[in-house]
Amino acid sequence: MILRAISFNKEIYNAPLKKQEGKAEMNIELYIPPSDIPQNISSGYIKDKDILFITFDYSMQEKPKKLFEKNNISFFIGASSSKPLRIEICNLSKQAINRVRLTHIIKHDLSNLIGSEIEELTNLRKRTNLEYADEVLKENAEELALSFS
Amino acid sequence: MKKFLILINGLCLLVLTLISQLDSFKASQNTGIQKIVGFADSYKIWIITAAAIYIFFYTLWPRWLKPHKQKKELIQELLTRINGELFSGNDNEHRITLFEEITWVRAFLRNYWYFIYHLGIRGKRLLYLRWPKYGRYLIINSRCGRRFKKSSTMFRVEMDKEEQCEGIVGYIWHTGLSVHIPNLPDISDIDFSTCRSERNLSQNQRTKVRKYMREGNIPEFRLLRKIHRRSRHFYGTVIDKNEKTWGVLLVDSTANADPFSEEVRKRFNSFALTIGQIIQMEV
Repeated sequence: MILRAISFNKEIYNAPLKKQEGKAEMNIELYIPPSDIPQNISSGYIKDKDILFITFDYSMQEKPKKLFEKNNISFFIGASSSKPLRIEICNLSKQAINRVRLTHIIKHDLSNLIGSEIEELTNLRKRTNLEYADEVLKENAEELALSFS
Repeated sequence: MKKFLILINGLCLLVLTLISQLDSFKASQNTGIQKIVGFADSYKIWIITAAAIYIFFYTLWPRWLKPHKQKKELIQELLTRINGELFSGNDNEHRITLFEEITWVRAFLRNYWYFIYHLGIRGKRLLYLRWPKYGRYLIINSRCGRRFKKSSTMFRVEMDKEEQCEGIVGYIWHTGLSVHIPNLPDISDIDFSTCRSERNLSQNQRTKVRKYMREGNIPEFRLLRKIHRRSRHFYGTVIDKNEKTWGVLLVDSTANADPFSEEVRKRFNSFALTIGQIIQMEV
């Protein structure tokens, strides 16, 4: 298994939230808190188990909680903040998935699953963390899929 | 004083050691030593008890009374460092505060402590007469600023009810995000010690104060009066501990121009991470 660190655009996290979620009467800019900004994102493929995993490393550790397990994709988030911690995509060889298809899975299938979870969330921090995760995954799907061989 | 206490502790340890070896001194021919040994032998139970109690309290008491003393000192140093690095040490205009969450019981006791404290100050004591509404509160843990290092002001917070969170610090705590609020109206010219309600303000002042309260998330005039320094620019972020929000790190400024550029915010965030890691440490 080779762990592959990806070079993602950290500036995404330094920009204010797109939608102005704050109180209408307050002149306000909201940002993701520093403890929810990943320091590293890496991916790897475990041949024996036929699992591709994507991990997000942070300076502050948090207990993981499973957000969903659908279509061979498991998504683990921080129990309190909902920051993405680990994504596992199983049965890649079994289903004869190639790298192009895997990129599509990360870009679209995973994004749809995250999107449906976001809809149910009311907590701003949790929602924002998942929205940013979706954006980062979409932007770096090709690079993340490179770990699969 | 500290050196004196250490000396006594050392003496107690020495006395305990000597008493444990009392029998070997009994054989001494020296009358002076024999007198001391006789005295120690008669009162050894009291001497041992006194020395043991002193050592016990000297070792454990400070850790019971102030278990996070060293952590707090470290955080205080860091806050001073933030001020030095990001705001050229100008602790008059820019103030950095670490707020921590407390329970209602502690807030209740604290409120009436400050009621007693303010008894002699006209116009202030009544602010603390009413007991705090039920909920959790944010109070100052550490602060770097020239004035009001210790403040009686508390901000109510409620995880699921945004309308019950008070002040910008309460708003940050509620959202769980980093929040930048610049350019609140300048109300530093208004003397709040003499006006008990909004009615005592002029029309112009009232407009400014209402805008300040709206943008500063201050629901009651009473809370605005309790706040000692009404800053104009704010930037803060949440600090987590054990899977939940522990407190808020906030910097507020009375400067004319908003000092929180992107670069300042980035560097402040980096310090906030370090403070978060210190808070999380088990010492």
